[in-house]
Amino acid sequence: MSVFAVISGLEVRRVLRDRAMLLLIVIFTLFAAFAVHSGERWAQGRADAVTKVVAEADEIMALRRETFVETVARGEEPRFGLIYATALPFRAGLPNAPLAALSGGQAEGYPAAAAISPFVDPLGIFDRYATGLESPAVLAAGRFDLAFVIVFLLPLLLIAGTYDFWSRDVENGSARIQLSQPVAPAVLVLGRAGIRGGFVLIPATVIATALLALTSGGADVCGLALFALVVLAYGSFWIALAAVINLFVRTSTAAALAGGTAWLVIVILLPAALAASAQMIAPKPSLRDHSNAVRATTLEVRAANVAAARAASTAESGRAYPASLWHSRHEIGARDARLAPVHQAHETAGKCHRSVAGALRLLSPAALAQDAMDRIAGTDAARAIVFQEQARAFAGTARQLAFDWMDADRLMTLADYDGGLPRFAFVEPRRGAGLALDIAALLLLSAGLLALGLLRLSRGAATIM
Amino acid sequence: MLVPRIAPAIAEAAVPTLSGPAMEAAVTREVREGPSGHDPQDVRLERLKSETLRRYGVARIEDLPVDFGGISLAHGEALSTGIYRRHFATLDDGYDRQSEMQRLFAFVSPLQAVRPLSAALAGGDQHAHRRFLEQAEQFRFETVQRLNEDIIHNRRPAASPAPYQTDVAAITDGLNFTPHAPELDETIKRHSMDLAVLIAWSVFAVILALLAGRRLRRLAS
Repeated sequence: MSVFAVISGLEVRRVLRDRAMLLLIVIFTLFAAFAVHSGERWAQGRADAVTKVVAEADEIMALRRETFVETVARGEEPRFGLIYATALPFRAGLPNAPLAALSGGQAEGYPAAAAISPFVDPLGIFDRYATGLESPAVLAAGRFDLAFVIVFLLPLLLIAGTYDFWSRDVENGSARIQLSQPVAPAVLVLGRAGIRGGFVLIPATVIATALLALTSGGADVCGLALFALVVLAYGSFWIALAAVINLFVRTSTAAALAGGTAWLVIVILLPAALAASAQMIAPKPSLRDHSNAVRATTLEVRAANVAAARAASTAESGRAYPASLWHSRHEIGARDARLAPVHQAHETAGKCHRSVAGALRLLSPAALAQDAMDRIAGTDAARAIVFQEQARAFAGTARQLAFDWMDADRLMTLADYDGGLPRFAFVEPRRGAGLALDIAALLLLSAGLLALGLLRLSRGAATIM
Repeated sequence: MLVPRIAPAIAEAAVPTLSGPAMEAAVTREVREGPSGHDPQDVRLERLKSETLRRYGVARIEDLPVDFGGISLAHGEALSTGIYRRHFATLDDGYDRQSEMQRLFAFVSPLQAVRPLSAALAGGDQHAHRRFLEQAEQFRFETVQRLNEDIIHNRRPAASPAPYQTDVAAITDGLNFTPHAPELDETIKRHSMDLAVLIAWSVFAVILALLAGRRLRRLAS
């Protein structure tokens, strides 16, 4: 039997005798189950809200159709919003990704729907849904979802299971006996760390993945596999950290303190410091300032065109669409041209902030794990931005439709009501390089810690007794 | 770490509130069909017309000494504002009940008592925000109704073909928004339970410290 098999067997027996390990798994399971349930509830609520928004356009058209029919039945001509393509309502909604229950992520920081109308500023279509009516206490505290349990709680459980795997043996003297055996210290120490940590990490990964698979109905198998990989990569980092700590300290108390401090710094302080640094280096653009600038610019354009608007309100266009709508068409062109630099500055600042925050996340394992899970759940900023781009493109299509109808003097008929509106369909972006970078960075950080441990071990067994 | 996240999740599940789109749909439905659900917009408009004609003793809208469009606007504004206020009050009451439920967890984690008390003393809690919104909404309503009053009395589409114009600055002169933040004694009274919980935690911590000291003395001797 190989040396490693002997060490493994011994460590497995020790772990199985330790009831605390089972307790750790049970604690994790309970919290993970509640977190998944909470995440599923949130995801369902969000999906319902988006569905309701998307259905608004159909409801408006159904009401207008009813009014259209009643008007015709009375022998009158349907007018205004019943017949003009410029009044067509459209809605765009961002559907949940299959594993949305995993993480609320940054979803609540971005609009999930858009109210589109041909004459509305394409960058203003999200204003109505920019903020929801979520519980302010939940928004302030953050969502209790599976990603939170993985990022915050799993490291604590791994530390609890591995913090003294070697330092206790150093304390009670059995480390000397173990190191006197014909076994490489690296194999002994790192092997034991891996087995002990694995006894918590592997069941936790299986349980978390199974719970997530249950909520998603097994959809997105690739996403589930990636999630398991992220949990293993993140957990491996903490096992490697526990191993390194044990190679530097001599007592269990010191190991516990070091482990706890490491958790506090890596999970709580470092991400907060990096977020603050990103804000200092490239501040997030102010929504209030942007809103005020848009409003001021729009009013300026309106004021500059007030005489023309007044004239158009009583003029005859000689066409199917009234002069006031032709004037509005001209005015929105001027408005959008004036708003373009305002929106551009806002978008550039936002993009810059996201880039800096994205680069800084590479320094934090907790931020990497959170970002990876957000991407898997489809609640990351990148997906939200893609939705905004697609919705704006659709708004452009809706506007061109209205303009084409105006140019052709085409008015709405009953057949148009029954034919249905063009619909927005979100095209799911590929997960892309961001997720791969997160996982690679986590594995690299773990490898870095292992390298540090090997360096310590290369100085000889005496340094770790 | 855990209780501050779990408590709001449990409170939100126990006392759910409407989402933005659901609330907007409910408000739109009420505006269209009336608060009772059986009083459609066009019926309300006809009723308002009849009442107005009766009040001024005329038979036709054109004979009114005031602008019926303005009366309709003012009436519609009052109705929709009432509906919105009622729905927002229900929403805010839901948030308050969620806060009460979270307060129960203060016996497990003192942070559940510290957070609301701290936010309230800083004037940044839900109560202060609600109070500000209600005052801002009242100001908005008064401003809009003052403008509608001007339309009622000064718009005469029959008398003059020129579009209605008015001096908005003159109409809204004297209307100033001056919000009033909650008073300190009111805040402390509202959070007396949080203060009591924190004092209880402090006493508990002192008792534990004294017991630990006694045990250490026993071990030392």
